Amino acid sequence: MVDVAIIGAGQTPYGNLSSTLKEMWAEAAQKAISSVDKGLESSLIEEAYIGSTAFGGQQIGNTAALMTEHSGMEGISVRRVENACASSGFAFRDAWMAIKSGEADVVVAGGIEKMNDLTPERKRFWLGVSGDTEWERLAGLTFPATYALMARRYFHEFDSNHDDLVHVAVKNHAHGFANEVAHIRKEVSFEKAASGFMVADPLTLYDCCPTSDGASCVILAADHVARKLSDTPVWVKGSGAASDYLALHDRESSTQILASQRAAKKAYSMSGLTANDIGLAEVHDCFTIAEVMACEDLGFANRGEGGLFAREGRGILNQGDVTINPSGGLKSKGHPLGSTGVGQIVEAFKQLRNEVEPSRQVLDVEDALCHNVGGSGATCAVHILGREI
Amino acid sequence: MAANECIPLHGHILCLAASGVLVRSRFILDGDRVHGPDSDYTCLAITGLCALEEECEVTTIQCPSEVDERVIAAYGFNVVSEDGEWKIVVHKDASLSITKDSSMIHSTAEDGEEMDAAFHLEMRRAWDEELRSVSQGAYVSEQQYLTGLESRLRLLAQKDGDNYFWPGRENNREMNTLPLPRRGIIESWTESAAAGSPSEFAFRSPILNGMTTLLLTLECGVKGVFLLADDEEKKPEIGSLVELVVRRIYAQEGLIRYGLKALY
Repeated sequence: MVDVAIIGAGQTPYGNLSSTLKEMWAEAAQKAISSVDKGLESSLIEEAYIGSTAFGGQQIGNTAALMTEHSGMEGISVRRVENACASSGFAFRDAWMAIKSGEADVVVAGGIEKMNDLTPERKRFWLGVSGDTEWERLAGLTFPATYALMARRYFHEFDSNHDDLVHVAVKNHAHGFANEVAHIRKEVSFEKAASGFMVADPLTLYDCCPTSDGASCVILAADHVARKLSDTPVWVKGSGAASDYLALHDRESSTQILASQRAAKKAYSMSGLTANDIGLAEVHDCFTIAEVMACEDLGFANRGEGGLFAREGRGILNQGDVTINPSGGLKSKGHPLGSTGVGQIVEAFKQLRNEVEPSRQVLDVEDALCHNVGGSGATCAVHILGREI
Repeated sequence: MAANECIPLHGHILCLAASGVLVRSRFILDGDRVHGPDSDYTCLAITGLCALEEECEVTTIQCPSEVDERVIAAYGFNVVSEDGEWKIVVHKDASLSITKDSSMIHSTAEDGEEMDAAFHLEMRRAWDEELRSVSQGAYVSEQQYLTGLESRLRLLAQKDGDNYFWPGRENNREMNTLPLPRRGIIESWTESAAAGSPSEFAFRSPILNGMTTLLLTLECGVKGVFLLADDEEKKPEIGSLVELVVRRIYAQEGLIRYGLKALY
């Protein structure tokens, strides 16, 4: 069966941007296309999968058609992919499958979200639409509140407390400080991160990612095309995706994300790799507790030791077992919901090609993992990328 | 008719009499009883009917307009429009009687908690505003709310061997259902900041200084999330037992939506 590689990747900066949806997508797509080593005629692109939650409702229907007509891809087969915060992780997987199936040779996967042009009331409404509306939202739960329930339970079950979450925040802000596309490029001290105002007890401001504007885009190609167009393709070695019950209370456990475990198991199995082989991981740290649980779910830490993993600094750039979130993660790089999954892929692509800022380059990295979660864990896509297939 | 003894029940005050029951809000303002922050006559009526059911068979009930009869019916009582065996009669203050002859029961007991006047006024205004509010898009329609009301209020779970499903799954409709006891153990909890609640609660959350949600393990291993009732300020503790009682959840497009909240 055909192998699939990423031959181009680009994204806008993440942040509170003045650019519109169309401008952001055009920028990300142009950067992705122009990053292809030997050039890419956009006429070669056959399909586009664009992840977005259509936050704010500006263009809920036919989002992908509107985006592609502003990036020179008009006329091709397009669709919006929606799985909450995992929208573009799944868009990437769909693009990969389109090539694996033999139906297409060059496919675009991307993501986009515009979140900061809304009134606070409207933003608050949209931030809560991806949980179980009837049974969670109407019990007062927002996503910070849902993850807060997980955090408090985690502290109760394991040897962990809020300080462990502070370590995650400090690390990710340190990583993101050097990232030119990060939303919050600010280092924070342990004391500062420990003293944020309460958002949803026990989670404070520094436990929560920002709401960001941004777009991301990658070009995938079948092996025979990839080798012609790129000297340094990044190979998709494993792809796994899974789901779980939408509402936290319906799940077997509130201190682990089973969808992550299932998706990771498939991706590891396909790639023939284990967690020990991964040099860097972009994990879905929408809240600091999410990174703690992800490190366990993905096999970097034993069950119940994600807090200890953070405390011991085992995810710090080039210092620990594996570099966790060298981009700064959602916490610092930012979280434009629909863009985040492919944004992680963009980071891994650049890291594997030694193209990020030197001060935050993960050294001697051969394989990277990207972990993108939808909502509080209802959906998850995991991808393993490598320099060699 | 005068009541005999009065006891706390469901966060209200229940007074028993020979002819029926009197249910009163436990909150007092300037000597008058006023409804709690998320309570009204419908919530009081459920408490009274539950108490009555402990004493005798409650066959049919007639509700006044102040009581949402759909909630009474969804809770499991037989509501009729006329010739009901039991009649609910609302009083001018936040209390009501349930008797067979529509008589009012009175109590001279002064028990209750003083409510802050400004808080009371702000909450009433917030509920009025909330009632007029319109959803911005994705929301629980009246049809969806009413369809799920019985499951919500009675905790009707589907049973398959040792497995229980609540709320029920559409593909399990052939399974037997049974109501779970309305109590649970706190597995976790959180308090959202005043500005951090879902938009449905945007008017009241700042007044309440945030809202507390509990993750509970009910009987048979079923879990659920529930708001804390009555703006209770005491911090919940994991492992504690709580009782689930009927309260207002939120209001929208002219309809007050009820559900179970945790009394801690």
